[in-house]
Amino acid sequence: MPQETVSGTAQAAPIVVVENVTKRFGAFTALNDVNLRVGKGEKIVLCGPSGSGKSTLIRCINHIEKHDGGRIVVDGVELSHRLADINSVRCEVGMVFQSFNLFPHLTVAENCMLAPMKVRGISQAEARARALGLLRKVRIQDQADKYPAQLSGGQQQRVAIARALCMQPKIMLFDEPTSALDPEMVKEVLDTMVELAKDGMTMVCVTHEMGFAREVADRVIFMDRGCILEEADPETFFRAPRSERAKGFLNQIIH
Amino acid sequence: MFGVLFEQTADGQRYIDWLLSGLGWTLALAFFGWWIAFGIGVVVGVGRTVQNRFLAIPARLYVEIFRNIPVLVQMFLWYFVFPEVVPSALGDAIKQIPPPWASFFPALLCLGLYTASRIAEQVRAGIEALPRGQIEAANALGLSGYLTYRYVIVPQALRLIVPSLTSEVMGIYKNTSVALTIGLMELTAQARQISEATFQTFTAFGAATIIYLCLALIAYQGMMLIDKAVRIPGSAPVKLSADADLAAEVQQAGALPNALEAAK
Amino acid sequence: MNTLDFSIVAQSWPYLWSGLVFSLSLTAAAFAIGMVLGTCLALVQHFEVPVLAQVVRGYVAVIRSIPLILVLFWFFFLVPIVLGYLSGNGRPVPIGATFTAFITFGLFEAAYYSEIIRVGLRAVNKGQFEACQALALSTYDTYRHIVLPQVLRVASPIILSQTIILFQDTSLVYVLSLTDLLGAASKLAQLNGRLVEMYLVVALAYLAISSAASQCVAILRKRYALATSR
Repeated sequence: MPQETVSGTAQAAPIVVVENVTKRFGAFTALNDVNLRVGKGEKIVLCGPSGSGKSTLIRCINHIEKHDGGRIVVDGVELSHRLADINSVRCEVGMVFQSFNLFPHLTVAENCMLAPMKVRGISQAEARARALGLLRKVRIQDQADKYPAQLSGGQQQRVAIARALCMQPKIMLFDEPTSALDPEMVKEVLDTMVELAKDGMTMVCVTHEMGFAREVADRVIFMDRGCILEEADPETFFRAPRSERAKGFLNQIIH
Repeated sequence: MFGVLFEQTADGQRYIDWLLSGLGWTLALAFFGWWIAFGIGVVVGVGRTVQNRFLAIPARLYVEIFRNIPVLVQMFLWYFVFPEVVPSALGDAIKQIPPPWASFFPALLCLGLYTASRIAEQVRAGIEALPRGQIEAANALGLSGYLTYRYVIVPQALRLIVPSLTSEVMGIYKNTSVALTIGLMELTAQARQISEATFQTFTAFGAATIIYLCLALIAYQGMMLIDKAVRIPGSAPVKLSADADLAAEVQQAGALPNALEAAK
Repeated sequence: MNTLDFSIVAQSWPYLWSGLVFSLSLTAAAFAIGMVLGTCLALVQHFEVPVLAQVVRGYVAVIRSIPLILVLFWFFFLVPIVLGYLSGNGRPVPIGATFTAFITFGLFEAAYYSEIIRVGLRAVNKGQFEACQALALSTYDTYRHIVLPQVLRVASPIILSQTIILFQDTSLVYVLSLTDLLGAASKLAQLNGRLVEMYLVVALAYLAISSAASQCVAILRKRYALATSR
């Protein structure tokens, strides 16, 4: 996809706007003046060495981390420190964590039903129907009444994806969704994500799965030391990375 | 040796009736006190973990005060001091309460509030032991602070602390005996009364000891059943921090199987 | 509601002070006896000494299952008989409530401390024992110099918390009519009728001492957590 078109969509209908955002943990600067626009339906892959700030960036987008400076606007709502804004943004933003973070005391279906019922206020029957529908989509409907600890890691991560989708978010954030998985389970999770991408979901993914990036990403963003160093379509990025650091990084993950 | 228990007392009962009446007061005090303690303990324990200072500071004060004054002194405060420091109309009304209840209610309040401070600390430890990701996941789903505590944090924390709550259950029934100092004729008081009436001290205290041992056994078994019932399928129990874990194990250990062996 | 008059407390200060000294000495003595005996009881169980281990388990379980007040009553009744039996003439030896209190608290706390140490012993890393064997240390040296120091270190916050509870529990000698801090206040209150002031002051004194001690334990805990995380 040509560069102009991509940035064109982003400017036409940006659903996430990150402007000059900084974030510090004590003396450590995790994000340094970061700018990012995500258009509706866009799929973005964030990569970079560990500690580069990529996880921090997406955690700021739904305010799990508070940014210290700059502006973040999600679906027209600026993330201030007002609770009402934060919660309304979080309803529109689904998040999938590296360590799944399923609620262990609730069944798979209950994990998916909790937030729609309590936050969106839909009925139990409707929540269950929606949960089962999405569990079918991630091919795990027969496990609906089991507890998370009874499932494999790959299954748990697919449940986590279904749980986030049950809130019918406008955008999905993935924070290294396959890093905690055994190698044989990575594919089932990536397949689910690819399908989701094909359905037109807006996605921001922190991942090192370059096959996935090639297949679905509109843009690959390379971060290092809290800054965005490079931004390109996947073909360009993988074939001809501009910065030395990106080259080094790609060499490391390929070998 | 326990034959004396079935002899007639001066008031036409048998001594065993005294013991059973004492047991009744002990159980009533422990049972109702427990629910007061549990209710307040959960609220205060949660209060210890929230960011909001207007909740966190009172919760902390509550625990500091009720945990650091001996039960016996608290008993006296409720029984002797409380009616004197409230407005005199209320104080007089309290003094009008007839005998067994005049001791029972202060004792109930005292044990409930004291035990609550101990349960609050357990609840706090349970909440702090939960992985950070649980709160993040709840936040990411848009659950408010209240909903997060109600549906995600507290249910898990309570499951975690069932073993250490066993020791609080045993603590509250043992502490019921302190109520004898304000005149409640609970189990220990009745045992002493029988001993004084019959000079069969060994029998009287022995019978009370056996009853307390049975209560310990029941409390322990009951909590084991609860632990099993609320255990999440497929999961190993989550570990508290090494230190808290050791403490929980210490509190839990020794009741059984040791109690069983002792009963043999 | 009568007006409070705390000057009465100031007047009776020496008597209250002697009560507090008694409470603290009882705590200290029970701590010393309890720790030494408790360690022995824990080791007996740890080494599964035949018969003795069973007896000790029974003792610990019974003591931990019944109220301290009942234990005080038991010992008040039993100790003179046992001493009489031991002295040979079979007649009970009257020893007085104070002595009974010291013996009772020592033996009672031993059961609680032994449980802490027993669990601590189980928590010691197996590798430590293997290292001692590899160094050809005797069993005595292994426990004396390697195992017990580690156990006491790990368990020290819990042992201290238990000691704070012990300090509060000493107020129960009230049932033996002894003059500890609470006993002193109670006796004064009966003389001068100033119940409210007396009990409030006693409550504050216990609160101050116990929470200061709790703060120390909290600091210790934090320091220990730091030391182990490194």
